[in-house]
Amino acid sequence: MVKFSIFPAGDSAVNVTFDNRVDPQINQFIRTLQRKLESQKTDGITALVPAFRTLTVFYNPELLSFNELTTMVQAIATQVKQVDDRSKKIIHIPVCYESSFGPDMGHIVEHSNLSIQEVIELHTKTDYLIYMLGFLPGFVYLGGLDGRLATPRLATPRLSINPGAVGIAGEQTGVYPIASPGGWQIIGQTPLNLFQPQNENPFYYQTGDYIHFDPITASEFDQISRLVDEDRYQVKVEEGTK
Amino acid sequence: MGIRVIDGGLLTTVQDFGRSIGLANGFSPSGVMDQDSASLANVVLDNDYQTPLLEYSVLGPTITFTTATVISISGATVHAKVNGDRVEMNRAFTVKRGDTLIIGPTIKGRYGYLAIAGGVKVPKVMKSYSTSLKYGLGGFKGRALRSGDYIKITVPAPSVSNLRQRQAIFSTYSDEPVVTIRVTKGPQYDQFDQDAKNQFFVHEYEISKDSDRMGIRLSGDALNVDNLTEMLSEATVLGGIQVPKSGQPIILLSDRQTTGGYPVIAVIASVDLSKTVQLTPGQKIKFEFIDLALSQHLLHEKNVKLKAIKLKFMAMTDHPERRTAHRLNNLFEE
Repeated sequence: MVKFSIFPAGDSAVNVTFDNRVDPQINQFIRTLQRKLESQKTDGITALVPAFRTLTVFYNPELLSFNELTTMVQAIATQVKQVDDRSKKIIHIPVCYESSFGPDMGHIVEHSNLSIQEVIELHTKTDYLIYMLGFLPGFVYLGGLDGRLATPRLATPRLSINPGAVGIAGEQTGVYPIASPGGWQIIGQTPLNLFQPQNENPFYYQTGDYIHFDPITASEFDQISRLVDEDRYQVKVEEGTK
Repeated sequence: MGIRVIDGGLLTTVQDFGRSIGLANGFSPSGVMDQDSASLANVVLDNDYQTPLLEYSVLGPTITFTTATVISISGATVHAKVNGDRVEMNRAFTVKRGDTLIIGPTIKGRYGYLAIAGGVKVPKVMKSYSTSLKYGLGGFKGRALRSGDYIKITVPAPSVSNLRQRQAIFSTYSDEPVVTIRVTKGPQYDQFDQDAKNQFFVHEYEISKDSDRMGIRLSGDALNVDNLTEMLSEATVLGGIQVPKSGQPIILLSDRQTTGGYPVIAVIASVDLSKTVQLTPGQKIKFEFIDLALSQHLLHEKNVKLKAIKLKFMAMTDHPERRTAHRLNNLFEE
């Protein structure tokens, strides 16, 4: 079992807190614990929010006491002796890296001493683990960026980044689901709508899933955009092994 | 049938108690700032606590009713009038078709509520009626109300009887020179050094002008956070008091980001949240530590009180079924 402690986060939430590091094993344990707690459908648990090293359990203290909750979490965590789930869900996100979509590609090329083609190859070879979502609806914190691509943020953040923009910030990579100010180095763009609030499930992915970026041309970008507008685009989801 | 907005006021939005469904996906919860006042405005009309209503701040809206209904106003103190007649706070008030309600500026407190019998009707987005101003979603077209907007309400209005007796004495606003707010330990409390912890509970803080539905910024002597280890982002909680590098604490509220990377020294006790959000810029506060058990006990006591108020009003309702039963009883007794 992975070690953890439980800290109250006010009178209506607790943080199940693991070692202070970014670690796929910890992430998987958190996800498993979350799924088990969800499947119990306990009255009084109002939300579960996973992050890098924490699972925050929101509860209604009128329905569930702190002691009941912590006992339950401990009991479930003990059952999760080891996480032996070898399967992984990979969501494929098409990205156009052509110059009109990636205004900061030059910065990455300069910083890494790689060619544009090499940057694209390195960026699209990895299955990136989603450690958590936050900051914006559907905004992913991904692990697994090739160290050669790591580039500091823009000195002056942009006032608005387009929805679908794919970028790099330090050792992180990710994609903006909605427009937002931000300092990421933008290297491409996806034609997909990554946040669809009108849908039963507004997001394609969740913590613990993997994201794979697939390179597309500008004309493919336009084709996919049309399909997305007509609600006919089928996102490619692959079951893989770790 | 509904309400026509003549003047939107400064920040009038449709809110319920927010959405927890998107928290794990980075979707901010939204929802009323002062849950106690919103609940009170609703129960005066026999609505559920969380029925969607209008929240306003600084300056209330002016609206015309295109159908008869019953309304109530709670939260920040305001002067409100219908056709020149004063609408008292926390009291049921009947409006006729064509009546215009004018809600003035907030005099004491920051957030006011206008509840309507049966509630306002807007589409549900991600299982809530709350407006998310940040993402332009939910509530009425994802934005604050403005002149010309037309919002549906429940028609015919549910019958609300014994209007004269439907008034509560209730306020979440505190005007003490220094308002005491109770808190429990935050998840990173133990990581702050003893000086910072002492400082946090001894010093007075002023509510900064720079406060909104996302959070209240406090200004006072800076807390030392230099020796705290960098933390990885984790979920934020309602009323969490985070301390960024500047050392000036920020209280996280309804429109907060779902995750944050600043250490949280304390969390406002749920029982004092409504009192906290009603504080206005320039007011001074001081934090008092209470343990988790007491905090939950105080919340329970508050809920019991609110429930008693709700039941008292519900008992006033003249249910047609009950009337029939009563008549039948009388018939047999005679």
